[in-house]
Amino acid sequence: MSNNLAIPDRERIDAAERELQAFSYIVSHDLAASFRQVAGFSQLLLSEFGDDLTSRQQTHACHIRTATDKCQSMLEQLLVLSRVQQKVLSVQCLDATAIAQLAEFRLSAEIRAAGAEVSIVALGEVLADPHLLAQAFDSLLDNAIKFRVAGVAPRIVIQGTQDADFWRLRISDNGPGVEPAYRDKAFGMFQRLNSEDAYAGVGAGLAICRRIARRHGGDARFVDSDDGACVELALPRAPILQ
Amino acid sequence: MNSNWQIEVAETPSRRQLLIVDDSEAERALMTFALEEAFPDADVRSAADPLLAKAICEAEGFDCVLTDYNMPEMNGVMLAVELRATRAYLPIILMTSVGDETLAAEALRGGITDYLPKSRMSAESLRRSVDRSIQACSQARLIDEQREELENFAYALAHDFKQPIRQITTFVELISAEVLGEASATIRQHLTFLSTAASRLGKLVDVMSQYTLLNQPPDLADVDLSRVLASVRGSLAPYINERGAEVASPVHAPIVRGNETLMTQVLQNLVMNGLHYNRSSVPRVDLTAYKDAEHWIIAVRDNGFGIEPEYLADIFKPLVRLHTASEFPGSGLGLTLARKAVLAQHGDIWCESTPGRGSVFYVRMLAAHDGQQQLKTRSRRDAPRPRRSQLPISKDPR
Repeated sequence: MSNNLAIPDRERIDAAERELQAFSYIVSHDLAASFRQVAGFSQLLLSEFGDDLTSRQQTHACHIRTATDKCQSMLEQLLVLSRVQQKVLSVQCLDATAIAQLAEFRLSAEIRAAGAEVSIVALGEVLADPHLLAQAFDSLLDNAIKFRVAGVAPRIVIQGTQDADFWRLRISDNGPGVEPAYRDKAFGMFQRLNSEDAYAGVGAGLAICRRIARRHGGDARFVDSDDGACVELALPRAPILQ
Repeated sequence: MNSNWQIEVAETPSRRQLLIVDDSEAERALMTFALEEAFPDADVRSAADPLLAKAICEAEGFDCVLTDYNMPEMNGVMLAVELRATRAYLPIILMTSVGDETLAAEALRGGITDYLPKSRMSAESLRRSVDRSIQACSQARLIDEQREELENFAYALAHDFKQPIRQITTFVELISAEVLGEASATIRQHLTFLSTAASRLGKLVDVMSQYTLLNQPPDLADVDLSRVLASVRGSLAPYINERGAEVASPVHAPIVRGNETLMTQVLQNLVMNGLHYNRSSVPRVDLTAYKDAEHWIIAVRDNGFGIEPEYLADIFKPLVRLHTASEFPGSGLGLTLARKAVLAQHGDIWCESTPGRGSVFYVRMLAAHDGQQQLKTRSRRDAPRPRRSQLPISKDPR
């Protein structure tokens, strides 16, 4: 009767997963090992034989180090993304306020350095994986602190609303904000909307947040706000785990 | 802000939102009745007009749509196509009254998730079909998301890492060229390690570029394999020299239907593979081609150590590396990529092997159908089929 259903069979899903794992493996092993060796030997050259090198050669070695450092941070973020993708979710009923407070505590040094003011309005409880939700809050808060207008102390508000289907956790700031045209692009991996020097980081935080939200069957996106940027993490009230 | 939120228990699925589309009032009533029996908690709504149904679906999210086939203005399959445009993963079930298998088969291609003859409609059959359709669509979404994920991943490697890795290799080359002559043995050794690691980085990025290339369906054209083989020979020349290897290929290689970039990738991977997993004093790869009806079969034969029969089925799977990385370093993806590239060109690839004597990889590609090719084909008609007929072989002049 319903035998002709256009079901994508288990085998295809498994093949897709195997492929993903194969590529993650290459990343974690081969690339990481090669970067480590390049970093190690260029460092050795500089520290042990720096005197034997001309200043031009020393500059070459420094360039190698800088490029390698950048690659290593990008790789690290790709692996975070891959772990988020592969983690077996353990969904629990969580006090979202406590998770946000934890993020505030973990980033207290950055908050102090930026002179930021963070207010967390009672967020209520959500069904989510505690590690992943904490990770999402960390990168959202980190972004909100990082993307600020020079000379203006960051004011960050974390609050939540709900409707029939979703809990909507929102982090808003008084930073430069993101033009609507670039909002979706900002969630891509290694998408930096600003020049490399303006803000530190490789541009992975939002991509990781979106992945976390989507794994819970929700999504992350920018919503309109009066001032600065506002990222919404929508988590379904009845999670469809992915 | 309300901090005392009600927590819904995750195991209870939310109320299903179902939509019936049928121009007959009687049919709508019957289906509503059966669906409400199948899903007592569901919110069942109905529309008499496909255009109205389309408008409702665009405004609201439904878990599943059940539609009639014969309706004025738009039939059920056309409606499905329209609905898919805005809701790619909406489960749509076609309710057929004719019970026509051809219609249903066409419907499945046209974006219908499932079909159910009205004559067999019951609460039980509806429940099963709706559940399976919803599951099928969420799996399809999952697969697409994973593919997208993988593509982004490979894209990041191929593009975002490309520039810094090129910087690394460039500066490593610069520093090596300047320092090597006068440097102490220790520095020389460091520089060698540095170069090896840097060139490995370059290779990994190449693999990723090849992979991303395969994520779009390739443009197919007539590909002259003579050109392809010349380019493969060119790019492998340093390696062939270094290994003292021999690569033999037909003087007049066939013209096949495919993509030149991908064919180059495939043959390069296969030749490389044949020379790489090889302990013969003179590693050798012979390329031959023979015609098999509408296809050309290209055989890549090596005198390497071969593959044990129990591994043959696995060699095209990602990361099956039969040897330790230190013994024969490789990304473990060469054959996976080759297979992916062949399939993308509607070809086929397989392998036969005799452990200790070598392997033969076969690539079957559709023959080109231009005039020149016709001529060539006719002149080779005498070649017995499907037995292999060797084309003239030219020894590598090197």
